[in-house]
Amino acid sequence: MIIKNTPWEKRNLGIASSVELIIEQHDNWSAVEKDISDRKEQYQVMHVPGGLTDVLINAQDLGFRMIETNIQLVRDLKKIELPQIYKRFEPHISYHIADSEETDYILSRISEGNMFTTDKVAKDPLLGSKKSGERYAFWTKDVLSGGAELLCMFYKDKMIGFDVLVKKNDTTANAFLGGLFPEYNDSGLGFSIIYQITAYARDCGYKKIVTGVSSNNFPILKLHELLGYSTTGCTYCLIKHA
Amino acid sequence: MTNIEKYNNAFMESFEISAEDLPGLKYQDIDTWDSVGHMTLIAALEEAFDIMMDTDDIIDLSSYEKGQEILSKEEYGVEF
Repeated sequence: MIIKNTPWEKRNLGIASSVELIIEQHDNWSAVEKDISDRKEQYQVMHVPGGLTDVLINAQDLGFRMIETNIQLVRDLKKIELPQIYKRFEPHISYHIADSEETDYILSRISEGNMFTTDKVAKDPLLGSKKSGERYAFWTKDVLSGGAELLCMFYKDKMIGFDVLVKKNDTTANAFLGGLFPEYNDSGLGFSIIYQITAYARDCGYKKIVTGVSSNNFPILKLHELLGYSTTGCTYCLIKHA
Repeated sequence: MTNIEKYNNAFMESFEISAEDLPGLKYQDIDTWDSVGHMTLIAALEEAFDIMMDTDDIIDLSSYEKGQEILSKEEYGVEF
């Protein structure tokens, strides 16, 4: 098990102390239990590899609550093509790298708290979507300062959303975070966010792109599958407020 | 088959719902009307009425009633 202190969550979530407990495949539950049963951090997040249901059950006996499964996805970038009906949107969708004004605008939209409503923070009754938005805005700012790229997504002349691409290694990019602004939620335009970041990663020379979606957001999983992504694994996520 | 029957069938087959679910139905009211289901519906409507919808109209089609309003436009010429 990896025990990771996460002091940035004090800034992100306004909590006094937090920790991430990352369970590994070979972990022995007795050893894990010894390490986690008396922890005092206010907010504890446990990541369990998919399939380790014994850990899932035992951790819940210690007060952890299952909140989501993170589903990992990958797409090979050799050939990218929109399904037929979506092709008619192609002349009308575009993107560019955000300038500083656009970056500020996007960060402010993220922090409003109504873009991301399905993740472990948004779904947590003690935290909620406003905190989730603030956390994502801080986190995005951090990854941008580390070299990530922020793309503004457009339909015709309207900015409809954004995506953040992080270099994982020379061949693989990570679609770290992306979304439609809430006013476009019921438009069917979500595909353009995924499609354009995929195309951008290919244009940058990457061979594949990876991302993760929450099991609480099934429509986004379906959309990724439609656009050629396939699942590679999953991680259970549990939380505990001590 | 009448136009309203064709229209209703497109919704019922795309979203696996019945006729009584149609009045007042809005995007995301049901699990099957998500962004993937939306394009399935558009494809069904285009096939049923032999039309090709404009992208702005695809985006605007946010409810069962709104769809009728859009298809009644002059460029599609569907009468209900």
